[in-house]
Amino acid sequence: MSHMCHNEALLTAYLYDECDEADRARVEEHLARCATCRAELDGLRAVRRHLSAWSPPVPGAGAIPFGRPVPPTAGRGRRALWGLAAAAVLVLAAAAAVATVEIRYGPDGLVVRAGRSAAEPAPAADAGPAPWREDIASLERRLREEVAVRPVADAPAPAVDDADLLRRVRLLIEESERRQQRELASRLATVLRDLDAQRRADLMQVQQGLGRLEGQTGAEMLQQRQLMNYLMRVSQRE
Amino acid sequence: MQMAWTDEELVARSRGGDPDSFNELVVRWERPIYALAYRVIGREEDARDVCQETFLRAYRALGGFKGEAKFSSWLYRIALNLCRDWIRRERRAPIAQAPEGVDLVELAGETEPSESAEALAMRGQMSRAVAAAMAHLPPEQRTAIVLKEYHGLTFQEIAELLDCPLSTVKTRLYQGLTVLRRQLVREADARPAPVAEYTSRNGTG
Repeated sequence: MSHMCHNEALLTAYLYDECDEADRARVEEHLARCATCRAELDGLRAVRRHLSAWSPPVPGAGAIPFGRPVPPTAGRGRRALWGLAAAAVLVLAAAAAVATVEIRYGPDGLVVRAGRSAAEPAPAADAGPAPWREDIASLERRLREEVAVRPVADAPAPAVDDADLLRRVRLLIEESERRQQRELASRLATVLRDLDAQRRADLMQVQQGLGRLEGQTGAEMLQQRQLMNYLMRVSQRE
Repeated sequence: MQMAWTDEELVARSRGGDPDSFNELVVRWERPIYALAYRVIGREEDARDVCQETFLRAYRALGGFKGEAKFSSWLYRIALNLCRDWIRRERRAPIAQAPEGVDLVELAGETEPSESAEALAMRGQMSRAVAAAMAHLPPEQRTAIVLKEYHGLTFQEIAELLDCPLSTVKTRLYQGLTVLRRQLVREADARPAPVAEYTSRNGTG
């Protein structure tokens, strides 16, 4: 290397300790004689020290609903706060999008579709945060009208159909008013796991309609996606 | 339940139908992926979006993961593609968000427990300076520096991830560091109070 002083590649390799022995020796020999390059190297090292101070923000409670290692025992008391928030969002979502929630278990796994399907005309969107208890009541009514409720059979191979699932969801939504939200999340997970008992595949495909729920803000859409992720993971846990 | 499977073993188990294995991969890699997205993009909420989308895509594409590369490389590639898409969509240099007028609180690395809202808003002055300086870099340089400084990848790994020659990686790193150096000096000169600048509290570098 004749022009060590301008060999940026070599200096960079040396800076990051990714050069071979021969190169390292050459660089160090040059540094011993060249104040300019020493200063250059010192400057670059200083920048690297600065860089180490930059940490990303830690997602706060209720932010990223990513999996935390869940103890395998039934000690659910300390489920992440985001789980509670997500459970609340579930109720909200179910209530607010009641007219257009479709949950089915198809050949490609569990499918949850919210929003408007292409065939249906758009219902009047709820403006803003409507009182969700009333929406739950209307969900209740609608489900009672439309769903033939059958007793839930505890068969080894549970018969899965929409009516059964909707009934369970309805029950869960009812219970959410009385129970703590972490219970809701846990029981919903149970429902999802039961559905999947045979196939063990549990990807929730959020259809595109979810992203186009009218009237939803970006934050609400984010919550929906967080929720779907949460449900995907919750359903995979014991 | 939580055994020390390798990433590739977890992938195989997940593909074989085990419901917990992918979740374990998420647990392992969500923080690095989020950190990557945040530092490359510079926005918290969008970084969360990218992070979530990364795992969603990874889950869907798990069947096609051949195991030729490391799982983490594959995951990083997905994340970086999403970052690149985001940057293109936004059509502007990402802005590292730096809160104004906060106390001098130095955070040594990432904290484990969730931060309170106040803590979330507080960043060390140095951290903010770095974030602001990084925002001046073009995406290619910024990405190379993020991968090298915060994810410990070798030149070769970065070159493979970014599909560019080794020499390009070194050039981007060198140029990026040089721009940062200039920018940090500028910011330091602009600050009214002297800052203990070159103390490496984190012990790296």
